Order: sequence, then structure tokens, then C-alpha cells
Amino acid sequence: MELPVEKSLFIFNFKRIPWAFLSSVFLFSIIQAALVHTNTFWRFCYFYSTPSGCDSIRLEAQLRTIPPYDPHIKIFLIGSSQTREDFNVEFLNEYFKEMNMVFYNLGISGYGSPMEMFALKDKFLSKSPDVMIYVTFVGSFYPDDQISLSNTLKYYFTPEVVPYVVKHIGIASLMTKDVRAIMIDYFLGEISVLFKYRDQLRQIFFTPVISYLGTEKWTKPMKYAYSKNQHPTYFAAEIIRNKGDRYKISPYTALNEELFSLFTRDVVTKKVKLIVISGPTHPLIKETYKAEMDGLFNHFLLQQASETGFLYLAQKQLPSFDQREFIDFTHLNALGRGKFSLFIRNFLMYLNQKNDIKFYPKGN
Amino acid sequence: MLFNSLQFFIFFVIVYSLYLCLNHKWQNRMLLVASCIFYGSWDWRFLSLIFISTTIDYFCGIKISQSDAPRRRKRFLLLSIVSNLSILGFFKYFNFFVSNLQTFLKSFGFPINPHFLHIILPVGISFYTFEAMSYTIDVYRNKMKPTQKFLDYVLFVIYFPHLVAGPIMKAKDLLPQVISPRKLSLDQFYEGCYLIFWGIFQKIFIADNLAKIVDPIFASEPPYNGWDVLLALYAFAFQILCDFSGYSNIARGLGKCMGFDIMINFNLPYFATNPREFWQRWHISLSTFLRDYLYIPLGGNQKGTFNTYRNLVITMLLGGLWHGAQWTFVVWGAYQGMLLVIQRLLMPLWEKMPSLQNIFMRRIWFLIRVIFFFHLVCLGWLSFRAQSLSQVCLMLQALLFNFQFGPETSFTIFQIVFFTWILMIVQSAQFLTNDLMCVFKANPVIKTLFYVICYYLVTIYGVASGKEFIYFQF
Repeated sequence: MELPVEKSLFIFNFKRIPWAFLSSVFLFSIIQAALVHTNTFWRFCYFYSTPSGCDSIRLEAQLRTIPPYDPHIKIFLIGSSQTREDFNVEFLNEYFKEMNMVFYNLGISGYGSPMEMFALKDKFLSKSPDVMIYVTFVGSFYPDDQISLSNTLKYYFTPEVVPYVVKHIGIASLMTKDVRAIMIDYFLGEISVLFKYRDQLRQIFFTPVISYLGTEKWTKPMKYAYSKNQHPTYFAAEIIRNKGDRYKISPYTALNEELFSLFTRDVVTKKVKLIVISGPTHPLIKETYKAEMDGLFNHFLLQQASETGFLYLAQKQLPSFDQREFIDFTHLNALGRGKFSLFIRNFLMYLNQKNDIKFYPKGN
Repeated sequence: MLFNSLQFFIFFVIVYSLYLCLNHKWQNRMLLVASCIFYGSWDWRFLSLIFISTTIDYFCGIKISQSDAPRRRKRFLLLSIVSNLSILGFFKYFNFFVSNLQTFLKSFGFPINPHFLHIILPVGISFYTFEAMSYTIDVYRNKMKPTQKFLDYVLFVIYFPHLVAGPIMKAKDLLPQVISPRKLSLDQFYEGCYLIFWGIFQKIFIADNLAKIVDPIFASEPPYNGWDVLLALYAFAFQILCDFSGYSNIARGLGKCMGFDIMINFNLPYFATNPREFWQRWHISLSTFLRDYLYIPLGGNQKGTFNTYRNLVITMLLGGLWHGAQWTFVVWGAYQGMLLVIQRLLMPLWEKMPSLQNIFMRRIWFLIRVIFFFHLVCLGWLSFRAQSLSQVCLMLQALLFNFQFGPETSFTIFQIVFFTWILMIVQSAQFLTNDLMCVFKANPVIKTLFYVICYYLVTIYGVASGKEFIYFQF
């Protein structure tokens, strides 16, 4: 007769609790929570981060250091690296200081696509901005061939975008190795902020050491990623490379259009003054894509502006920029930045005169 | 499927859950299937190689034990060894020997145009062929009885924790653990978890971060800077230690969780003060294999001084070649053999030296010897890591004549210290307490602190991309 099978399940009969392990997990969680709720930590992160490479943590750091009940009028400048590079925030803050306004440049590297803005919407709105200025361009809606979910959502993924991605791009796009890794990172990042920003934190923690050892000179804190204008040959080469077909309609267009509608609707519903600007671009960029794209882009934004109730500034309403004022096709240099910031200042003053934005402290 | 990947984590959770629910017979069957899946995740086709090898060895083992005629026994032993070495030689060394033959004949004015094989090296082939051979050799030597159950034998070879990068377990040590029911205990489970944790930490925090320092320097073009080469060698010394001992720790930990006792493969090798001691601490499973199945059969140290030196050099040369079909590995093996010979030559002089009476001075002297020998080991790593012998020469030249302290140098030093300080503390504690599990057995407060620091370092600096273990290529 066969003996009864002896099971090994007794291992789960924990008679000795692994206290060291449990207490270390608890301690790690406590230290981490304490750290991420400390403004000094986020200021340190912002101080030693570099634009472009560390944009996601810079954004987090900026948002986290905004006091919950800030008496100032908060103006969020959002969008892609175009936003980050095109505004002189010091100039705007200085000018509007007396009017109790504070500008936050929250531009992030990437496409500045509505998908990214939609993913970040709740973060923005949780800080109760008064005005949001979203700088966008034709590439945000009609992306080039480089577009993929992984490079768009790498640091900004949220499960809320999933149904829309499935609807427009297909479920297969979520099954790729890169996107799966992003989703896993997202869930682990929800547990640990240090894990979420590990790539940037590595750099940020080493930067003071690099600076101290004299390995690299460090200008702190860095505001702009680019400082050197591209050589004229760069533009010529890009025009040839793109063969007039850089930005075109793709499944991402419909996805971005739908998410843009949702984003703007939610922002406007929250009584935030939303200004969407078709940002300045290098005159030669028009040679990299078909002219009809500009028409489609403007038509969509004008239609949305009238339906949703935000302000839209088309490129033709901006001052004209010449080639000397650009770093590359989409980013202004210091000269262009000065001009564009001055324009924004005047535009906001104009809105004030129209009583569209109230330039006095809240509660008055 | 790498140990440091999410796939493996899911795989192991499933395997372990099933393992706990099954009896011994079904545990073995399930482990066999799981090991096939694990190996098949690299390339299913190479599973056939393992089955060919194990079938021949199993058959030879039985035939050897059934016969008393020495010639017949020897014939089956040869059949097993030849078949194993043929598979290894064909997949690993064919192109190497053919290309060298081509160069050799060309130098004598006989150019040939040989056919090269365009095949990838089966993962872990060097490890499992040695394990399989150990079985028939031990049966032949009457050190063990052959198993009558083919599936048990296959599981001994293919058992996934040690399949692709060792430790190279001898059949007489592992096979009985496969055959007999294993005992599980909570202590063993916790110990296993600690080993897995520390192994993963060694891999993803230390080894993979140091690789970022080492790889660009060895991939760069000459001229080399002596500082860069020296720091790359220091970094590589710790990278390879943590990469390989990390893997061994994970393998041992997985084994412990399942009630297997897999041998210790690394025992603080950089605390060695001489080559002999180094090989008693480094890749112990390989060095004992080479000692038992190559050095001793060659005559060991029993056939005169010259033959002892010859045997040492042959053993280490073949040990070097075992690592890979490249002259750099042969040179590394020759260098290690030479160190062992020099040690034997100097032994009489060494023994005549008066020993230090003062404890403090003895410790200082020990430290000096450790540091000195560590540098000799690092010099050997140059050949081990370099891509070609010409690179070895150029880097040696830079080490001797071209030292320039560049702006990056101080930061590289900082990085090496940053990524190794915790290892140094742990290994110092292990050495002083003479206990590799001293952290596991430490005071709960120290243990908690250790875990917290490790979590922090892994969370931020852990390389999550799942870089392959260095020894997979061997």
C-alpha cells in the first residue's frame, strides 16, 4: 500500500517571523516617504538636474515645491522642450512680480503631445493653476516616424490612456517589450518614487560629486538644454532627409486629437484659463512637411477653441521670427526667447486689460 | 531567462509553488520540465545536445558498473569522455582551431580556405559537459554507484539553478540529493532567500554598474591611459567577482529554498595571499574539478618537481582554454600556471623567513600580501578581459609608461569606491568572522540597516535592464 503523500507546505507555517526583513521594508518605506515629502529633497533634485535628461523629475520637483495654498496667481507653461526653451521665466516673473503672478516652466522633452498632457493633466490640476499656456506645434498632432508609445509615455504613463491607445493604435501596441516595461515601471513607480525617477536620480546624486571633483563645470541650476545654434548645413541635411514628409497623419493623430479634446475640456471645466499657442518654428521647417498639415492643424485647434472655450494663438498671430533666432527647427535661442517672452508679457497685459485674467491676489 | 529578470521571478514563483505541493517523485519530474523550459528559453534546439550527452553518459555509467573487466570499463569511460569533449570541442573550439591552423599553414606558405561554422555557442555547455563527465569518471573510479533512473540523472545535469553557469557540481555530491527525498526547513528557506537577495544585489548594483566603467575602456581605441587601464582592471576585478559569485549565490539560494545543497563557489578570493590559496577560494567548483579530474590523473605532485610544474601549467592552460576559445584566455591560464609554479619555487625561501611576533605587524604584513597578490590577480584579468593579445600589450605598455591623471580619473575612482564599498565591508566581516553567512546571522539591527541600504542602492542604482552574466559565454 502506498503511503500518504507527505506535503512540504509546512514551510508556510511561519513560526519565526523575519523581523529584520519586515522592519527593513518598513524603515525603507518610512525614509522614502519622509524624503519625498521634503521640499529640500525636491529642490536638491531640481538644482542638480539637467534640462532634457531629467525633465520628468524637474517637472515633479517644480510641482511638489508649489505650496498647496499659494496666494499667487500661478501660470503653468506646459508642452514639450519647445516650451522649456522658448520662455524666459525670470523675465516674466520679474515683470509680473508686483502683480502677484508666478510662472512655472513645466516643459518636458518629447513631442509635447496631447497624450503626454493628458497623462499629466491631474498632476497639473492638483496644483490649482490659474492659467495654463500650452505651446504646441504641428508635430504634436502629426508626428514623424520616430513616434512610439514607449518614447512618448516612458516617464508619463498612466492607465487612463490605455483605452484610448487601444481604440486608436490597437492593443498590440501595448504588448511590445518596451511598453510592457513602461507599464511595469509605472506600477513599481507608484510604490516607490525613488524607483520611478531612478535614471535621473543617479545623475542628480552624482552631479555634486562631479562638480566637487572638478570633472565637469556645473552652472547651477540649468534652465535650458541648448545653447549653440545648429550649423546651417544641419537644416539643409534635415530637409533632404525628410523629403517633405516629416509630419503626417497617422493613427497617433486621431489619438492625440481625442486626448487633446479631453484635456482641454477638463482644464476649462476646472476654471483654468487655457491658452494654446502654435509655437514659433524655424522658417525652413515648412520645407520638411507638406503645407496642408499646417492647415489641418490650425483648423482643428480653431474648432476646438470655439467648442471648448480656450484661447488659441496661431503662428500668424505671433511676431515673426527669423532664422537667427533659432537653435534648430523648433527651439528658440536667447534672442528669440527674449522676443517671444516679451510678446507673451504684452499678450498677458492685453488679456488683463480685457479682464480675461485678473492680475491681483486671490481673495481680493 | 536571466536570474535578474522579471520572467525568471514569475517562473520561479510558479515552479516553487508547485514544488511545495508535490511529493518527491513529482517534484523531480516537475523540476525536469521546469529546467527544460528554463534552458529552452535561450534556445530549444540545444536541449537535444544535453539529451544526447546525458543519454550516452547514463548508458556508459551503467555499462561501467556492470562490468569487472578493466578494458571494457575503460572503453565505456572513453566513449563518455570522447563524446562529451567532442560536443564541447565542436561547438566551442572548432572555429578557434581551424582559424589557428589556417594562420599556421599560411605562415609556412600553405594558404588554405577552411570552412567555419556559423553557429552560436550553446549556453552553459562548458558547465554541463564537465558535470556529465564527472558522473562516468566517478562511476569508473568506484566513487559512486550509477543511478538506475534515467530521469534522475538528467535532472542532475539539467537542474536549472546551476545549469548555465555552475557551480560545477560533481555527480557524487548532487545526484544523491536528486535521488533521495529532500528536507525543507524554514531556516534553509530564509538562508536561501538571503543568498538570492545578496546575489542579485552583487549582480545588479555592483557588477552591472562596474561594467559601465570597464566596457568603454576596453572598447576604446589606443593609445590608452595608464590610469584608465588600472582603474578598469580594478573595476573588472570586482565586476567579475560579483557577477560570477552573484550568480553562484543565487543558484545556491534557489537550491536551498528547494532543499538542495549546492556547493560554495567563491570564498573571499581577494583575501588570498598567494596563487594556491586564490584557487582554493576562486571558482572552487572548477578548480576542484580540474584538480580531481586533470591535475591528479596527470600525476599531480607525485612524480618529481619538473612534472609537478608541468602538470600545474597544463592544468591551468586547459583551465584558461575552458573559459573560451581565445588566445587571451590561454595566456591568462598560462599566467595563472606560472604564478603557481613561482609560488612553489619560492616556497623553500618563504619557509625560512622568520615569522613576525607582533600581532599588529603581522596584520600589516598580511594586508600588504593581500594587496600585492590582488594586483597580480588584476594583471591576469587584463588578459582575461582584453579583446585581443595586441590590446593586452598596448594596455600593459600604458600601465608602465603612460600615466596621465585626467579630469575623469577622480570620478572613476569615486565610482569604483561607491559601487564596491558595501562589498568590501561585507567581505571584511565575512573574513574576520570566518563565516560567509555572518550578515545573515548578524544582530537584527545591523541586518535591518544592511537591508535598508541595499534597497536604497538597488532602487536607484540597480541596473534593471537584465544584463547577462559574464560566465554565460563560457
